[in-house]
Amino acid sequence: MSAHRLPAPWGTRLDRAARVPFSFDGRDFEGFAGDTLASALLANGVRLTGRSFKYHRPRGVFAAGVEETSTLVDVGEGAYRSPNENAATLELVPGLTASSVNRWPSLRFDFGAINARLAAVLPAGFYYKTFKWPDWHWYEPSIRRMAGLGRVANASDPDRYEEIAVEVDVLVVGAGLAGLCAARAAAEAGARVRVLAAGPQPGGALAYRDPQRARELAASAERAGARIATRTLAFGVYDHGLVCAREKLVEQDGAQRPRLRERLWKIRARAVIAATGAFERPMVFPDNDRPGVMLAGAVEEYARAFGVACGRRVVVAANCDSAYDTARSLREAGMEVVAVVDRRREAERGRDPGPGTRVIAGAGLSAVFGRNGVSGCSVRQDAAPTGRAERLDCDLIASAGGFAPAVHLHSHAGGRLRWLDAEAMFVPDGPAGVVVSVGACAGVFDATAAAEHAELAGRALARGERLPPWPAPGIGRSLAHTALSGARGKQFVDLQNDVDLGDVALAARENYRSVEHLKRYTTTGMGTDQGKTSNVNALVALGEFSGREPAAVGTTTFRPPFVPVTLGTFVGRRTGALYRPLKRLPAEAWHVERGALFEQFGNWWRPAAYPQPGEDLHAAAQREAAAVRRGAGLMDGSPLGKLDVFGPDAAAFLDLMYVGTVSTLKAGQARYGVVLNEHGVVMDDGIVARLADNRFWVNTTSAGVERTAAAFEEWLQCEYPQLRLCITPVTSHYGNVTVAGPRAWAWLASIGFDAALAPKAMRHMTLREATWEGTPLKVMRASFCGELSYEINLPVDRTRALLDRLWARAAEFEAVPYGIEALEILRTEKGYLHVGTDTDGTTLPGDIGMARGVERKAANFVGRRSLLRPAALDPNRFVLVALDSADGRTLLPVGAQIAPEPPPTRTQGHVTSSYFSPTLGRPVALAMLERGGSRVGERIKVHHLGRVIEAVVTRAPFVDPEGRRIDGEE
Amino acid sequence: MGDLEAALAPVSADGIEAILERDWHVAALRYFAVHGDLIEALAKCGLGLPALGQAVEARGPGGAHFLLAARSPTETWVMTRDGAAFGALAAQLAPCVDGCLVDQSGGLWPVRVRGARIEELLTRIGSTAALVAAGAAHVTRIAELTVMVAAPGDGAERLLLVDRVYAPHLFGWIRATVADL
Repeated sequence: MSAHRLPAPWGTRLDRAARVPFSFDGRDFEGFAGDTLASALLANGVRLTGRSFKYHRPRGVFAAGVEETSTLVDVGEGAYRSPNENAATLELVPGLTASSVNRWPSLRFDFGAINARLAAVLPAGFYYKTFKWPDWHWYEPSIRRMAGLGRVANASDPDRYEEIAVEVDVLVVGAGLAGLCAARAAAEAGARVRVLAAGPQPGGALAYRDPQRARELAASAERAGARIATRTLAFGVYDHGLVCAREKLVEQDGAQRPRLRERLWKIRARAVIAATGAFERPMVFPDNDRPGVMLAGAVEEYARAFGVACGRRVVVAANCDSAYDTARSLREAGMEVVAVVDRRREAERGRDPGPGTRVIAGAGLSAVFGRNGVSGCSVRQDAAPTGRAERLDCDLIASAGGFAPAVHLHSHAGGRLRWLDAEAMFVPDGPAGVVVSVGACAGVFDATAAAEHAELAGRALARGERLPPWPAPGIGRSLAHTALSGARGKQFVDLQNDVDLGDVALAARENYRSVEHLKRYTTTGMGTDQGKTSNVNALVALGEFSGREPAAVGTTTFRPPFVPVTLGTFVGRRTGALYRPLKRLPAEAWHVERGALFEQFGNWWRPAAYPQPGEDLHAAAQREAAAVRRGAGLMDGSPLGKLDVFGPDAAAFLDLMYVGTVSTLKAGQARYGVVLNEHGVVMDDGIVARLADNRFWVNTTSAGVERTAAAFEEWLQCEYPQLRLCITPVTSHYGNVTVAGPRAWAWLASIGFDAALAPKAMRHMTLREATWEGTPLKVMRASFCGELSYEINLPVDRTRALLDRLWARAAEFEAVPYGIEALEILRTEKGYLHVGTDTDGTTLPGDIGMARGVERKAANFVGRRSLLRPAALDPNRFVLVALDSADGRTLLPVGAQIAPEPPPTRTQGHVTSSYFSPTLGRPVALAMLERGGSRVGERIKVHHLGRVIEAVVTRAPFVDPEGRRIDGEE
Repeated sequence: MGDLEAALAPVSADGIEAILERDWHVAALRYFAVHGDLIEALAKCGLGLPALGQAVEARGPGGAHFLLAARSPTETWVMTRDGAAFGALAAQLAPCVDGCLVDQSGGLWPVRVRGARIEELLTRIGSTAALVAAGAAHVTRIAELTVMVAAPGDGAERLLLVDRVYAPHLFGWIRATVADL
């Protein structure tokens, strides 16, 4: 094992007194508090930590931050399993159980590695070309199984998640040198400042390079008033200064108990300072993915922060001056730096390599030796592609290809980028909306310049002043193209997706010239990488193969989230009963006591039926519907939508809202009406009753009251603001008990209802205001079942009292409670439509038998003009009809298509409602049918899942076509 | 769905308390302009409309304590525990033609929230828009619901006015959130 622990003071993050046991792939290990899983694995000499996505090539720890893509692990067990966690950011906690992904049966012996041998026939986009014959779906399951790396838990997540909202003046994302300087300056200028630190402590790279200064800087920022949140990573910038961040509250420690795991921060900021640093760019050389090839900055961070020497003999593959700083650090840590192999010519180097450092300038790595771990490399001069290569023995290759500023937040905010040719990097081209970049993510790498720029920016943003000028990068020269000409073997530009130079060359040959097309074709920059380490190398290569400069190639658009975020974080509290707001009936307990089977109807949690012992939903609904036709039934109609419309122009306004005319109603009269949208499409229906000259009682459907009220308000406020009226939803103020059936009145009379409400005294489609035992009532005679029916509206807190009183006398009238299912049967028997069930987003009033109403109304109404369009006048429109099954026995399935031939064919309509009628002893159905009105008596074919059912077009109502039952028994 | 009454039980924890006030009388005052007969009649009852975004306490008929919270330019919610005073107010306003009182009692429920951790709770179940200053009121989204938040008096407590049918959902969010505070 070449990697090993270094003695203190190496390992600034570690608490060596606290040993932390953990397991990886079933083997037990030990680390220290402060370790990440990656650092602990390295310290224990574990080099092989993963398998690549496509070729299943062996991979080891590559990076030390969010850019790590080679060591993704599944953490936890059972329901607590969390897939594809980044080992480089996963804090080590006692009991942590991790396993490698994308391998079978084991990490060391992986059958999938056969793919590497088949690489020649698996180039970029091979699956687009290969798996087309005879049908992609033959291959899809296998390919899907191979994709996705880790495995999700097979049970719902027991952990809890929450969200929190805050408002600040200045939000600083990143708590490194630049971020803390900006935060301190902004806070000192009087701004409310919050700083987000992704890791467990503020400081960024400064925290391990100069821990004392990092602590002092953080303390001074806090003294100035800035609030620093740790373990909180901003993953997206959205409109209007909204930044979303994920705070990790606990790591999975193997304990099987639910905890508050993560918190979503929704931060509204007047100004956002991005101080997110930069990613080191990997060098491109053959087999640059072997375990033991690591980013140079990561090698230094593991040494300084975690006290881990990632190897004993290191070759630094360089393309930038920082490589020499890294080499110096590694020597200080006791590692042997075999050589710095610099792709640049000697004259392009801006650093003194220091004494004792062997530099091989103008050269690159032409081969890497070792399969599951680096054992050496060969080095060759760029100018001599056929020349003899020199072999260097080493167990670690530190890859220092330059830097790519982390411009993601800048891009989320819509910012533009510009290419710096000398430094070979994209940097923000000025601020992006509320986002201002400072430090390395702005391309400013000189520490002094970065700190000064950040302070000036923080102060300016706090005071609303002009921003300071952008300083020079101060990082020296890097080459854009780092690959060695003539080198052979796989030279990866994207380790996570196994995209190599050959894939990019293929894409260029196939004319995928846009970098966005390159991304989709080769998958480079996808997955958790999202271009962090792959983007620049891929686009430089595309430019090379298509004869363009990197600036001309451009870069892909970075979109949120910056890092993977658990679905739980987005979901927050919205699980289980809190998933969706459901409306609860005021007298819910009454129904529960009577054995109601509750279901969700239009956001209401209400009884579908009241099954008796031995009954299922269907049987209960049949019994209840029959009982209503025979005697009486009661239904809790409280969900019925109710609007109070008041004002001198209320009648005129409602005339505009309904197809029918409302203004001719006298006080106490009621009328059915249909509401259209501006396209003439039926959006709701209901009954309007006049209470007084200037006041109306408007019933809507239960599910449609919000949209109807909103539509009324919109028309009133936007189109008819001159009208004086108010629309007030009152659904929840009133309970509603609907009593229906031939004996409905007798039942109501038995509990003391006023004789003025009797059918002889009160006509159908009227409303009376009355009192019952001191309770004010609004009683409507209207029927959705065809029987005598009273809709009794009363103060909501009296609903239960009325239900109890009625129930006490129910037996005398063979009365039952009935649910929505029975109501659906009853209304279908009568041919009454249910908006949303029998209608859809294309249904016009003429399609549901209201053509005459439209023609008769001379005045304007919403949607009228749209009814004159040619499509609305098409004689072939679907029209609501009634259907009988031809054999009188078969229930027509709802949704079944109507056509002369089996599908696929042009449909002539579909079944919308279908029930077995307990009154008739046979099925009845409604359907939308092309030219339906002229096809009564025609035999049609109904197709459902391969079955053909013959049916006959008929007329509704099926029951009581003369309407004799509407006044009940006399 | 759990038991409805259990869902509406008070929430009490260290630094936070939420109680449903079922017996309050609540009405919506609707008006076309702020200078009509409704506003005059209201003034005769000792009550005045609050400015938009404000909640004011006042003495109404019989010296009863009322709270008025502006909801929109044409709507103010008026609340009191005193049923007789509420009835008297409704009777006084009934003949008005420039606006009306729409009884919402039992349909709109106030939830009283108090304690040192009010802000911690509200920013978790809503957004920063749920934080209102003393004497302010406005409608915002809390627990995915449309809720009016009012901070009457010195702002030591908040009233969350929610549609009755959604009150169990609101309490569910409060209960779950408070458990993790």
